[in-house]
Amino acid sequence: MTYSDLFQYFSLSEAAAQLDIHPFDIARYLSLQKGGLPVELRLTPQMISQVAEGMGLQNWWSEPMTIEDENPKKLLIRELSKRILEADWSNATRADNLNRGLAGQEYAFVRRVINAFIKCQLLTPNSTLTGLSIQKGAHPNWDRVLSTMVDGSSFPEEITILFS
Amino acid sequence: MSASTERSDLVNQLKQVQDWGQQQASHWEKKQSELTRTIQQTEADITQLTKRLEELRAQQIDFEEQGQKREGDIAKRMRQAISVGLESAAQTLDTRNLLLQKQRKIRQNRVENVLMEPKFQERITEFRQFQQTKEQLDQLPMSYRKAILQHHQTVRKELEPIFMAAEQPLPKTDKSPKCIGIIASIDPDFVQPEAMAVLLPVPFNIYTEPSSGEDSLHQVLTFRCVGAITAALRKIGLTDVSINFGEIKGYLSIQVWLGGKKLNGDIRQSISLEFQQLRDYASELQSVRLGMEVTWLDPELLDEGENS
Repeated sequence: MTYSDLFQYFSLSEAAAQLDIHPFDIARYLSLQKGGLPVELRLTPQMISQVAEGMGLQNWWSEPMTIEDENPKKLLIRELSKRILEADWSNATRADNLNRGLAGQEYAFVRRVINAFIKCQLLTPNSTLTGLSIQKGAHPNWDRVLSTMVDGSSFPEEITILFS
Repeated sequence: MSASTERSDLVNQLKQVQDWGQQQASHWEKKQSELTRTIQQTEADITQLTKRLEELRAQQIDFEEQGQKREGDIAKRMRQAISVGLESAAQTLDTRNLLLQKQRKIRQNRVENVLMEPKFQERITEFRQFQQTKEQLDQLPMSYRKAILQHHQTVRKELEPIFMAAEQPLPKTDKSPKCIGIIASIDPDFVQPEAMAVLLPVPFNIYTEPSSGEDSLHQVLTFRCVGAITAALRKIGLTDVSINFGEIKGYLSIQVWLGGKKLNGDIRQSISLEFQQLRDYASELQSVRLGMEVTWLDPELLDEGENS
């Protein structure tokens, strides 16, 4: 029986890796909680779960992709559009939720797509002390524009340049 | 006297006028001469004073140039001092980081010594079994579940010395205390600040390449500073500001854009209080006897372009 067998303490970096979030964001979140950052920066599994819940972490890509498209970039755009269209926008969500579950080139590409969606007013960004949050955009034809992207029939110019 | 030598009144009158005219001419000639001399003297004085004035103006320009050069020299030396200070702090962090690993190991060894005590072995095995099966508890009937939980509480109570040992603060090193400098700057001033930057003596890649292992002292310090700045901003009502991370001289700079935001307090004081709390309470820093002090500097001194 060793120390680590019995006591499950995780460093802030380990906790961040588990939650697929930047460790700075956990530090920012914990600093705003009652009592601030713990006296020693080590977290139990229970504390990590509380952080995940408190920060509103979501994995937007945990569900498999259902759309079929030969163009992998277009596929990601259509899938993201579908997820945005189906999301509950009664509250803002963390910007990194929209990427969580992706890695490498897909992660980087979806970040660019999110920026393009912001430019098109399909999403609205807000700065907060715990990181960027995203709200439903103010585009007058929000549902229609996203629906046409989901079915692949039409894309705004700002989006088309990303996959053509 | 014969009548032929007698001058007529006319001639006498004219002669008097002629004499008076000569006297006047002589008087005014003398005056003119005096004035000419005075003018010449004054012109000579002016020439000399003009020359002196030119000399003084040249001296003034020279002084101004020297003053500007001196300011430049001071700024240059300040930048050098900043670089040396940051480098020294980075080295201190490297050495104290090794100490932190050592202090963690000391505590771990203490706990493991308690863990090895025979009297705890049976209870540890039970505790471990509970940890491995606790997620399946919900599937058991209520009475079983209750009994298992009660027993677990008893086991946990008996293992309390081990938990207490594990929850002890990190032991303190007997090395002498060290203090590292952290640089903060506000642009353009504290009255209506537009931007704030806090430069930490840690490598920028702590931000760009987060690791997933045990935190080094550099990481702990960075996370705590990020937290302290966040808390400080909230305390003065800044809840919707953007915090960004940049690189200055290879080090991590925490940058906050404040333009147009209303501040409900003194940002310098708020930052100072949070860093003081960080210094006083962070177990890792206490353990390796590492202090820090925030120094506010003109943002121009952090300008890399002028550092060459």
